[in-house]
Amino acid sequence: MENKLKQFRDEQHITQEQLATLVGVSRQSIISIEKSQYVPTTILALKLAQVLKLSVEELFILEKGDWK
Amino acid sequence: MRSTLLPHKYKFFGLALFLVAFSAPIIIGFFNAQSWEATSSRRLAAHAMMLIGLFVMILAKEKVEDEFVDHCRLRAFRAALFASIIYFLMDVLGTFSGNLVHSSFGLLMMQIGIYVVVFHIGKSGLAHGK
Repeated sequence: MENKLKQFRDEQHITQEQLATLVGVSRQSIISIEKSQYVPTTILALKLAQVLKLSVEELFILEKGDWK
Repeated sequence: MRSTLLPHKYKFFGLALFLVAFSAPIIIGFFNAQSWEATSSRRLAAHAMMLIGLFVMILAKEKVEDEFVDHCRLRAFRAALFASIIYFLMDVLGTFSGNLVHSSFGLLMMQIGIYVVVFHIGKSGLAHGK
C-alpha cells in the first residue's frame, strides 16, 4: 500500500514528532509508516487522516499487488 | 496485551539482573575458578537469574507503547517460535548434537535472544517488509 503521509505532512509543516504526539504513537511508528514498512490499523489510519484533515483514501492508496 | 506488561522502568531492572548474573560467574571464576565451577547450585542460580532478568526485560513496556510496538513484538515472538521449531526438528533429524535442546536453559536463552534481537531490529526500522 502506498501512502502520501510524508507529502501531506510536509505540506502542512508538521514534524514527525508533532504528528506522533497528535495521534498518540511514537515517532518511530510515523517513520515506519512513511517508509511503507508498516501498514497502520484502521484506527490509526483514521486518526492520521483526521489530524491532517484528509480522507483515508487520499492518504493511503491501494496498489495492484494489494489485490493478490 | 499492553495491560499485562510491566512498567517501562522494569526493563532496566531486568537488564541489570541479567548483566549481574552474566558477569558474576566470570568475575568470581577469574579469581577462583575451582570454587565456581564446582558448585552447580551457584551456576543454576546464575542461569535462573539470567532468565528472570531477560524475561522481565521482554515483559516491560516500551517508552511509548503503540500498535507498531505490538506489531514488532508479535514478529519477534513468531521468529523466536519458528527458530525453536526449526532447531528442534534439526536436532531430531540429527543435524546437531542435541546438547542445546536437552538443556532447557540453552533453548530458552536462544528463544529469548532471538526475540530481543528481532524486536529491536524491527523497532529501529532496520527490518523491511510489511
